[in-house]
Formats: sequence, structure tokens, C-alpha cells
Amino acid sequence: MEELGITLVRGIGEGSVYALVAMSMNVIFNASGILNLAQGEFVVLGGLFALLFLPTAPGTAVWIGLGIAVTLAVGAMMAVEGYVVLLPLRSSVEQHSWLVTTLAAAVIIQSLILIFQGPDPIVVDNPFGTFDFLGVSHPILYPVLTGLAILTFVGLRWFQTHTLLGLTMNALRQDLEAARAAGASVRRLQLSSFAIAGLIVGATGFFGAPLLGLSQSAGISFALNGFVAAVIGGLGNQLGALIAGPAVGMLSVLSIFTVGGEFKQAVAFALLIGVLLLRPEGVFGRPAARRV
Amino acid sequence: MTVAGDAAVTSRHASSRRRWLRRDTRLELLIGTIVVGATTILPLATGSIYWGQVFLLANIYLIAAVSLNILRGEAGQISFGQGAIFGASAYATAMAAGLYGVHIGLAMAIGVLAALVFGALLSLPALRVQGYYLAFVTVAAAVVFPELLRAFDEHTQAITGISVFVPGVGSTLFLGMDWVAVAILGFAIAALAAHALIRSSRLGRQMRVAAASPEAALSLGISPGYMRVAAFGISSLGTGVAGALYVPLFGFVSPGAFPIALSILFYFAVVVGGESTIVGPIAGVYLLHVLPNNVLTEFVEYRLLTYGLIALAIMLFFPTGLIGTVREWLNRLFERPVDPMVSIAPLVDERQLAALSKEESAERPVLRVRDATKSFGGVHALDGMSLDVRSGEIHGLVGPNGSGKTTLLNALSGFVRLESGEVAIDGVRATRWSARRRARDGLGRTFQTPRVFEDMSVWENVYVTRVATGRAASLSPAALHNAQARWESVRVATLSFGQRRLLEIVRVLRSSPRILLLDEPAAGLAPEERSRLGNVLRLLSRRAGIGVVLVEHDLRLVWNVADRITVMDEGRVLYSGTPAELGNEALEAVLMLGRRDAESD
Amino acid sequence: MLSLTDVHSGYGRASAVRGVDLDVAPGELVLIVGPNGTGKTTLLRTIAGFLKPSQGSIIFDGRSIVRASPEALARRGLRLILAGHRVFPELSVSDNLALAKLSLADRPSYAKRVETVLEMFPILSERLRQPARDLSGGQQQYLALAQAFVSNPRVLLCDEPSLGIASGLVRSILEFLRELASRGVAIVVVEQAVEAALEFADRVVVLRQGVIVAEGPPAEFDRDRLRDLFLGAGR
Repeated sequence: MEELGITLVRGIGEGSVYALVAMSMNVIFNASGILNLAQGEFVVLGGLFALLFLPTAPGTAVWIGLGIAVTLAVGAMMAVEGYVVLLPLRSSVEQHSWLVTTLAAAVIIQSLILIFQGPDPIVVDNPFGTFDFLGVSHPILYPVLTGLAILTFVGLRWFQTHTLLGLTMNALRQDLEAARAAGASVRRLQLSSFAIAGLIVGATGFFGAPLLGLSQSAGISFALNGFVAAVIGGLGNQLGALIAGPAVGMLSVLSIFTVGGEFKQAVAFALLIGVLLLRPEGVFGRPAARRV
Repeated sequence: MTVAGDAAVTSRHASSRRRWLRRDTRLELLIGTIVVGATTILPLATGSIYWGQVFLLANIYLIAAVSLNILRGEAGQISFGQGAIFGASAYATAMAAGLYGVHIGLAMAIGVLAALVFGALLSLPALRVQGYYLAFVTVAAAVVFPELLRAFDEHTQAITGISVFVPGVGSTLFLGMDWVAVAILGFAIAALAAHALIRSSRLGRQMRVAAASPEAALSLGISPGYMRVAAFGISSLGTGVAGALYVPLFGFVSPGAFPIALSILFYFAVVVGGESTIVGPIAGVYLLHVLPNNVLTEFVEYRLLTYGLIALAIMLFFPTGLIGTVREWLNRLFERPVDPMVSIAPLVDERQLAALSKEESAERPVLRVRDATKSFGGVHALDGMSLDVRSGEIHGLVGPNGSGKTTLLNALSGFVRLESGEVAIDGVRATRWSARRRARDGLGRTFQTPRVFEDMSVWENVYVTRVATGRAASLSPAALHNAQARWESVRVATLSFGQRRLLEIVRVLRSSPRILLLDEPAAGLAPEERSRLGNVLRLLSRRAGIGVVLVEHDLRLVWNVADRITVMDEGRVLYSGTPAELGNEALEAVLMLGRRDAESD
Repeated sequence: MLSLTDVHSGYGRASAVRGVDLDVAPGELVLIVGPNGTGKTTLLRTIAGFLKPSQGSIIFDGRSIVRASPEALARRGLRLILAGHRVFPELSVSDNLALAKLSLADRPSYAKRVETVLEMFPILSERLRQPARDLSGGQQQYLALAQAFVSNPRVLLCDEPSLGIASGLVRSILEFLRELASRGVAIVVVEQAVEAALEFADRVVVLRQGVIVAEGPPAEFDRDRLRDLFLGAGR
């Protein structure tokens, strides 16, 4: 019974973080076809800022206010990364440089965190406390993160349907040429997509810092799990990401009870391989032309 | 490389030499050997232990990077799993030698074997997915690898690591090198040589064709899947050797030595150096590993930062890599555009006149299509289409956009499966055959945009497939041989568009097709090139007896050269007959076919 | 308004357009015809900025536009309607129209312009909330034209507007273009369904293998002459 409770709360909670990273990756992917391998580092950055700037006993207002500031800051920083990554793509010859440039950006950010903060884990106090569920007490922060994921999903939907910028980004995904012919500025939109993705992961890192086990080396893990959730949900499909994240999270937690904690990452990896081999378009994706 | 029956012909040409290496790769190999030799021998010979160790490790990494360069540069596979393969080999070697007391030589062989197994596993996803999907799968494998090592601690002693005592380390053989250094030097040079050999061989060319255009590969009878598996196999072998050599160099392994960062280093080294080069990885490894670790700084954290910044800077300013950019400059400086030099007429073998009479060839069409049907999402691309092509005939296939011409070609090539209907090649039912089988059985095809490879010479583009045995050759081997010297010295990048068209045709002729499917071959050609194309087509059908299906928009060309013409619209045949039989009505139908009632309103 | 001089363009090494001169004045409807694969679409895409010409000049409103991107040109009032009734399938009809705001210089006029175009295409106002993919091919073409209209272009390039459309609708589309021309828009139409389009044009240009082989008022082009021109036999 307790295991069920942990699987549900912790699984969905951690999975919501995967969903958040996946959704942010989808935003960039939909606008540019790029998978930002540095995504995870910005989650860590969000947490780092929480560590550096949160006073010891923050009131709610301070906490939220700082959270918004950090979110915006990380959004801006990711826009800078986006600008650098998009630069070589101007010439039509080099369309695959982003694999290396996003990885290089990840390495650079990771090293900056290492220089600044050192190799120690980033530990932030949990301001919320716990609640009881099925006999075990869980941090309230888990359902808060789930709420954040849902809020992000709804927010993105609203953005796409109620703002011209969002509408244009949506159109860009559906038909790039027609969007250009209608006056959509592709580079500007792609840059905006990086900024928006930054907002999402910045918030995730800041608010989730107490739980997430952040450190300078954790970035790649977030990126990987985010990618797994994105692929399983169907690359580019936000609803898919929202559902796949918690699903993967629950399976991961379940694996701790069945095969042991050391295999948690391996289980996610096995899931990824399985989906890619059997149904590359993801559970929710439409079967497009196969990758091969 | 020549068919056995032509050995007599070959011996007549005294200057025939089997060339193992391309001219430019010879130079690169020489440079690479000198550099690697210098960096290995000089520090050790002059007694600098520190720098000796630095470059020994760098050259081990170089072996792995070159292996990845083969995988990435020749076969186009994006893999971030080389670090894990390296680690698997090192661990297997260490476990065998350190835990089970196996002799170091045998242990290293076991390590290489482990690498091959691991590499084979990693190649499986490559059969299903490509591009960034493959990248992420291999990243996942590389991240999980150290964790698995730690998880199976009882067997791997992951917490403490494994120490291996290696005999002979430190006892100098010559020039300050011990057997480990000699081995590293030898294998590093061997790796570079292997890459150069592959690059110059037909296998390498087939890998590149498969990487650049799986469809073109299939139409030449090459299996992209086999190519990928072969590439993973070769690169795993090299990476495994590198990993095995790691053990005697350090005498100690722990999971911490093989993090994802290692895989990233290898990949960066390849891209930063330049994927299409032999010595690129040398520049990559020295710049990204030796420089930050040993030259620039003492603080560990800044090492990582420097490495990231260098990689980023190179990608921004030299997107084709350092050595790749140098090669481009050299090409631009020394290359001159060449006069038209691909001509087909001298190549077509006079011997191969069709012995069939006109009546006989009409009875037995070399290609027959009956009632072909195919829909895409509710739209009938092919709607009961039938076609007969006789051997030695040029059959024009015309119709407006969306009439199904391309779908028919793709169905004939085997890229698309028909829903109903039959296809027969020379009387044999071929409807269920794969694209490769059809290609091997004499169905040749060209594409709207010539799938030729800029970086290779004309000769290399032509010599991608084996000459088909069992069918009379379309091209005279002697004439081909004569053209070889000219063709070897010209890079396709300097050829005009029309010349590339002809090159694609020559390439497909080497597989002695019975049927040739040409997809808008006149597109993009200037008027004089079009008439030359018309002559070529007549040559192929009259002299070489090939049945040619000509899909074209240039109606004047079609009406001039075709023996028979089929007019299509909306997946069906509208008219069919000789140019004389099809009068103005058919012409106007093609030219000005209004939009039919596509849907009701 | 729009002036091309000796324009050469193509993909990679292939040249599809080999020296085209063309002038279009405001309010003029120029019809470009020719056999397939002859460079008609390449020409439009080059003018619209999707391709850079290898040679020649293109002047719009007194300024050279050979380096301009399609989005920049759209914002300056030069719009291309792509072949194949391309709209954004998942967006509603009204959202599709809203994208015109990207290139509409005078934002406050948006509502009025939408009202006007919905009167011209009543079927669209009935389906305002429906996703564009639910519309028939012809209706989607109406939508593409409507969206272009709302953005108040000064030059409109139309690539095979009748492609994939029921023949009954082709007339109404051409009538709409004629109406636009009468409002002062310079229009260039590439069309394969020549017969239907002839009567709406002020001037006909015949393109064959990338060069203009004939030009003149529609009356000068009958079936025989067109056939000969397309095949390269006549003048």
C-alpha cells in the first residue's frame, strides 16, 4: 500500500518534472526542429539561483517574487543560447550543427556551474512541508510540481490560441513555407521559442530545487528523461508530453521496488529503446514518415 | 574490380594498376603517420615521462575517434555510444587480467570481443532510427553504462576499481618506448590507414551512398542496413582496441573513467576536426583533450569550460571542421572546372545489339504493369494503370502534375507497395520483390535531382557497384578502363548539372540494366543539353537494347525520341500509342488538361 | 510596381529560369503559362524571396528585392500564394485569417477588411470556427486568397490557383483576382488551366524552358498557337 502511495505521489511528481522538460523541448522542436541538449542545465541553473538568492526563511511573497525573477532570467539566458545555436543555421549548408552546439552549450554551462558552485549538491530548504497519503508522508512539493506542469500546459495552449505570437508559432509548425509567405519571421520566432522554453525550465528548477537532487552533473539526466517523455508522448505533442512524463515517472519509481534503485535510469533507457523500435512516432504521435 | 571474363582485356593495358588509396588520402595518411609518430616517440625518446604519458593517452583516444570518424564520416551514423564501447572493452580486459588472471594479450582480445558485442547491440537501433533519435539512444546507452557497472558491483568491483599488473610496462624496447607505446603507435597508424583504405574502397563508397541517399543505394542494389551494421562493426573493432590498450597504460580502471563526457569528447573530436577527413580526429583530439588538460590551465573546472568553448567556437566559425575547412580552401585554390568529359557514346558496347526481332520483342515485354492501384490517404494516385515496355524501346510517360507518374516509378522501383495489380520483369512476376532485388535483377533508375556525390571523383561515383554477372554488360569494360585515368582526377563538385545527369546514367549502366526508369532527366538542362540527352537515350535503347521508361515534362523531347507514349491523368491511362498515332488531341490533353472535378462542392 | 530584368534562377546547379524580363503595373493581371517543369513556379518563388536569383535584378516599388526574405517582402506588401491551396490545417478559419495581421501595415483596418472578404466568400463566414482541414480544397483556396486579401497586398503572386480545385470553382477564384486587380493590386498568376484563365488576363506571357517565348493580349493566343508555343515549334 505504501509502495502504491509512493509510486503515485513521487512517480507523478518526478514525472511532472520530466513532462515540464519535455514540454519545453517540444516548444523549441516545434519551432525549429532542434532538440536542445542543454535543456537540463537550465533546470540546474534555476535551482542554483534558488540556492544563491533565497533568504533562509522566505515568506510566500518573496518566494514567488524571486521565482518569477529567476524564471525570467533563465528565459533570457536560454534566448542567448538559442541565438548562438541558430547562428550557423543561417547558411543552408550546415543544418546539423545544433547537435554539437547545444552539447557544447551544455558543457559550458555545466562547467560554469562547477566553477561557481563546486561539485557539491545544490541543497535548498523545502518551504512547504509534508502531507500524509496512504500511510506515508510526502513533500507537498510533489503535487505542486504536478500543478506546475498542468499550468504550463494550459498556459502554452492559451498562448497559442490567444496571442498572435503563439498563433504564428503554431502556424510555423504546421507549414513553414506558408507561414513565411504570410509574413512570419522565422528566426525571431525560433528565438522566442528558446526564451519560452527557458521560462519553463527556469521555473521548474527554482520551484523544484528542494526535491530534485540538483548538482552540476545532473543536467544531462534531466535532458535525457525529458527526451524520453517527449519521444514516448510523440515529439512535438504537448499533451503527449504531459501524460508521458508522469507515466515514465511512475514506471521509474516502480522499478526501484522491483529491480532496485540502481537500475532506475536503465529502465527509462529501456523504455526509450522499446518505443523507438516499436513505434517511433510515440504513443500519441501520428505515424509520419519513418525516420529510417 | 573487373569481371573475370575481362582479364584478357585488362592485361592489354600495361598501365593498369589497382589503386588502393586515393591520391589525397595518401597525403593525409602520410601527414597523420608523421604527426602520431612524432608525438609518441619524441617525448619518450627525450625522457619526458609526463608528456609521453599525455600523448599515449591522446593517441589511444585518437584510435577511438578515428573509429567514430569511419562510422560518422563514411556511414553517416550519429553515435554517442563510443565511450561506452571503449569502457566495455577496458573493463572486460581489466576483469579478465585483473580478476581472473588471464594473460594480458588474451585479456585484450577478450576486451575487443566485448566491444564488438556491445557495438552490435548499439547498431540495432540504427536499423530503425536515424539522425537525432539515434543520437539520443546512444547517449542513453553511454549514460547508463557506468551505472550498470556500479549496479553489478559484485562482478565489476566498481567501488574500488580494478588494478591490473601488466608485465613489461616501463621496460624500454627502443627509442624510449615500451611494448605498450609501440602497440599504441602501431594501432594508431593502423586506424588511420584503415580509414584511408575504407575511404578509397568500394565498401566505403557504398557506405557513403547509403548514408547520403538510402533510395539511391537501394536502386543500385545496396542495402543501407548492411552498410550500417558493417560500419558499426568496424568502428567497434577499433574502439575496442583503444579500450583494451587503456588497461596496460594505466593499470587501473573504475567506472569514473568512462562517463558520458568521454563519448562527447570523441564526437566533438570528429566534428571539430572535420568529418570527411582522415587526419581531422588528430586535430580534434589534440585540440579538445590535450590542449585544455595539459597546456592551457591547471584548474580542473576551467578545463571543461575551455573544451566547451573551443568546440563551440569551431562550430561557429568553421562548420566543416578545421581540417575540413583547410581542404575546402585547397580545393578552391587548386581546382579548375573541367570541360565536359562524361560522354556515354564511346562506352556503350557495340556487341550488345538485341537479337530479338520487332515482333518477338512486342510479344515479350521486358516490363509489364497490369492494373496497378495505389492510394494515399483516400486519393487514388494510381487507379488501374497498365503499361508495356519492350526491350530496346523508349517509352514516354507524360501527364500533368498529380497524374501518378512519380508514384508509378516509385512502385516500379520497389519503394512503394502496390495495393493491387502486377509487375513483371522479363516475364517474371516481380510484384513482391524488394527494391534491392529489382535493382539486382536489372531494374535501373535515376532521380530528379542527380544523386551523385560532390566530394568523390567521377570515377568513384561510377564505381559503386559490382558489375552484374549473368547479363551482358551495357558498357564496354575496355572503354571504361580508358576513361578511368581522366575520371579519377575530377571531383564531381566541378561538373555542370547536365554532366551530373549523364554521370548518374553511366553509374546505373554499370549494373547492366534491362530496364531504365528515368525521372524527368531533362529537368534543369539547357536546350543543347536536352538534344544531347535525346541522343543518349536513343543510344541506350537501340545499341544496348535497354527498355527505357521516360517520365518527362518536355513534350518535344518525348515526341522526338519515344517509340511509344502513354499519357496519364489521375492515375489512369488516357492515351497510348506511337507519337504519330497520338495526334493533337493527346498533346493538348497533356498541356492544357483542366482540373477535373476533384471533389463535389 | 514590379520589374524584373534578365533574371536567372534555379536549384543548385540547375537553372530553371534563364533570363526573364517582366514588368507588372498596379491593377494589371498578368497570366504566365507554359508547359510543366518550365520554370513558372521557380520564377514566382524567386520574386517572392524563397530563391535567390543567380543573375539579374528585381525591383519592387523602386527598391531591389533580390536579397529580401519572403517574410520581409510580405510585410512590404508583396505576397505569394503557394500552389496547392495551402492553409494551416489545425487552425480555425478565423485564426487563419488572423495571421494576416503579420503583414498588414494598417492594423486598425483588420476588422473592416475581414468583413469585406467574408462578404465575398460567404462560405467562409459560415465556417469561421471550424479547423481549416475540414474545408474542401476549393474552400481552402478561398481561405488562402482571403487571408492574402486581408493583409492588403500591393503585389499578389498566385501559383496555380486552380490546382486541385473543382472546375466549377476556378471561375470564381479568377473573378476574385480580377476584382483585386480592379482595386489596384498588381497580380501575377501562373496557371496550367490556360483556357479558363485567358479571359481574365490583361496580358499573357508564355514561358518555355525558362525563357519568355511570347507575350501579348489574350486575344492573340488561340489553341493552335499555344500548342505550338508550348512544344517549341511556333512563335
